[in-house]
Amino acid sequence: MASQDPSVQIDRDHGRTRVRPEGRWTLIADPDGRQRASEALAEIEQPSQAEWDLRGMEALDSAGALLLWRLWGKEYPAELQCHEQQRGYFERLAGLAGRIPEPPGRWWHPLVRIGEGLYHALQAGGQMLLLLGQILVSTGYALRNPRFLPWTELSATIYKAGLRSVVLLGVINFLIGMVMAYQMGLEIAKYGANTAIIGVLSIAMLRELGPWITAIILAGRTGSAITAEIGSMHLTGELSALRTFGVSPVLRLALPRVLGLAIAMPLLVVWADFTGMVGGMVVADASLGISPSLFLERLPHDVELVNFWIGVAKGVINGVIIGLVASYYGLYAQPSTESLRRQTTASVVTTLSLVLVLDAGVGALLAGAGLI
Amino acid sequence: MADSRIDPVIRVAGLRTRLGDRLVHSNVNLEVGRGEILGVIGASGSGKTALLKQVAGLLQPESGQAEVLGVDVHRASWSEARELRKRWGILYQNGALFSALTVFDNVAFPLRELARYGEALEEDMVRELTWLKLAMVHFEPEDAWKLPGELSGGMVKRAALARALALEAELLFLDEPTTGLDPILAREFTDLLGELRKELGLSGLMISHDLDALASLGDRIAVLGEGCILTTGSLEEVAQVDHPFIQDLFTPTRGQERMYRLSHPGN
Ligand SMILES: Nc1ncnc2c1ncn2[C@@H]1O[C@H](COP(=O)(O)OP(=O)(O)O)[C@@H](O)[C@H]1O
Ligand SMILES: [Mg+2]
Repeated sequence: MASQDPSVQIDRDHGRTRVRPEGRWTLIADPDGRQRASEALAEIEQPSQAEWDLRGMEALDSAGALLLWRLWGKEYPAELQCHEQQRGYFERLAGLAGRIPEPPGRWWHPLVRIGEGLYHALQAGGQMLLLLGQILVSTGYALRNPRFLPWTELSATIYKAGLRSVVLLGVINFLIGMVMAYQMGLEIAKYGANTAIIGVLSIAMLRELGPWITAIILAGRTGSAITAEIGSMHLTGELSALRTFGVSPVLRLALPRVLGLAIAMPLLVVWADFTGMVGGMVVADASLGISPSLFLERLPHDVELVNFWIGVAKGVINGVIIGLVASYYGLYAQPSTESLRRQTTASVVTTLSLVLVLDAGVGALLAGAGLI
Repeated sequence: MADSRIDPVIRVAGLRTRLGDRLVHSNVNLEVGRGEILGVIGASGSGKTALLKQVAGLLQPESGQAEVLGVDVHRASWSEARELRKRWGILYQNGALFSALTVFDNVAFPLRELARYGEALEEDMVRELTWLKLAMVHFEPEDAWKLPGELSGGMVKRAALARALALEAELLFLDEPTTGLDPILAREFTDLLGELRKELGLSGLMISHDLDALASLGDRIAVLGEGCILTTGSLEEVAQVDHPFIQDLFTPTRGQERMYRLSHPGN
C-alpha cells in the first residue's frame, strides 16, 4: 500500500520549483494520510510560488483539495496543472472566497440575557392571554353553532386526561393520605388529641393536597403530552393542513383540551380527595385508634363543606391553566425537535408555577373574605 | 455496463423481507456495477423503500443477503459496518435533515462525528469542508444558517445531498430524489446529480418514477413488483415489458402528448 500513500515529488531547477503530489489523497476519513500529506507538504518552500502538477495523483478528495488550497494561501498557485475533475474543487473553493457569511451572533451579556428572558416571559404571558381570549370567543361561537363543537376531541381529552389518570392518581393519593395521617398523627398523639386528625387531614386534603397532586400529575402526564402533540404538528405540517380546510386550530385543538380538562380535573380532584382520605382513614385506624365509622361520623362536624367546594373549584381553574398553557406552548412551537423539547419543558414548568401562584392568590383572597 | 458482472458494488441475492405480516419481498436479486446507477421503479407500496433500507442494513431480511462493496451488510462486524457507512450516502425521500440543526450543522454533522472514532478533523477544516460541500450542491451560503423547517423543497434536497456526500461517499442510495419538486427544480436536481456523479465517479441505487431522472441517470432500470425484480434492462427495453404498472408508467402524460403535437404539427 506504501505506493498509494500521499507523497510529494519536488524538483528544483534554475530557481523554479515543480511540485508533483502522488498517491491517494483521499484524506477525509484517513487521519494517517492527513498526517503524512501535511508532513510532505511542509517541506515545500514558498508553495504558492511553485508550479504544481496534480495529474499524477491517484485520487483526490475534497479534504485533500482543501489542504492544498490552504497551503496556497486560498488562491491559485503561480502555475497549476490538473485534471478537469480536480479543478472542480478549486473552482468551488475560489468561488467561495468572500461569500462565507458570519454565523448569526448571539449576545451573551448577563444583562442582555435577563432582558431577553423578561421580554420572552412578558411576550408569553401576553400571547397566553390572547389565546385565552380566542378560546373564549371560539367557545361562544361554538355554543351558537353547536355543529362546530369538537365533540370527538372533547371526549377524547376527557378519556385520556381523566379516565386514564384514575389509577395512577388514586394510588398516589392513597399513599400520600397514609403518609400525611401517620406524620400528623405522631404530633397530634403527643397532645392526646387523636380525633383532631380528622379535621386536620381532611382540610389539608380537600383544600390543598387533592387539587395540588392532581395538578402535578396532570401537568406531567397530560400537559406535556398536549404540548408535544400539537407542537409536532408543526413538524409534519398538520397545522397548515387544518387551516387549509378552514379549521381553526384554536377551536379544534385548544378549546376541547381546555374544556376537557376543566371538566375532568374537578372530577379527578374528587377522586383524589376520596382516595387520599381513605388512605388517611386506614392509618388513623391503625395508629391512632380512630375507627372508620368514628372518622365518618365526626367528619361533617369537623370540616365545613365549603372546603370541598374550594378544592373542586381549584380543580376547574387548574384544568383551564393546564390546557391553556399546554396548548399555548404547542401552538407557538417552531418546527424543530429542539423547539419541541424547549416548549414541552416550559409547558410543565409554567403550568406548575401558575397553579402555585393562583393557589396562593386564591388562598389570600379567601382569607381576606373570611372564608377560611 | 460491461464490467458490472466483474465488480459489483451492490449484490442482492434471494432477499426475502417481511414487514408486519406482509411479505414485501419474496425473492429479490440484483446487481449494481461500479460506476453504474441502477434505477428501481415499481408501484407504490411494492417495497422500493424497503429494498433500499435492506441494502443499507436498516432492515433485517428473513433470508437472503445483501452485499455492498464486498461486505454482507447484515452480517458485518461493527467496525466493518462503520467503514461501509463512510463509503455510502443515503438521500432520504423527505430529506430527513436534523430539524434542530441549521443546514450548516447538518452537513458538518458527519464530519464532526469522525472525532468520536479518533479521526477528528480540526474545526477549521470541518467548516471549510462544509462550505465546499454546500458549494458542490449549489446551496447559497446565505441560507446555510437556516433551520430545515425554514427551507423550500429544493433546498432541503440539496442540503440532504450535501450531507450524504459529506464523507466522500462513493455509493449513493437515492429514494425518490426528485419527488415533491416542481419539474424545473426536478430537472435541476437531476442535472446536479449527473454532474456530481461524473465528477466523483459515484455508483448508486436510485428509486424514482421521474422518467427524466431515470433517462439521464439510470444506466439500467429494474422493475420491482410482486415481491421480486420483474425485469432489468435499459429504459427502452423495460418500457416494452407487458405489465400493467409499467405500461401505465410509460404512457405519455396528457401534457407530454400535447407538447409533442405542438412540436410535430403534422401529427
Ligand atoms: N414498518 C412497517 N411495518 C409494516 N409494514 C410496513 C412498514 N413499512 C412499510 N410497510 C409496508 O410495506 C410495503 C412496502 O413499503 P415501501 O417499501 O415503503 O413501499 P414503496 O415501494 O412505496 O417505497 C407497504 O405495503 C407498506 O405498507
Ligand atoms: Mg417509498
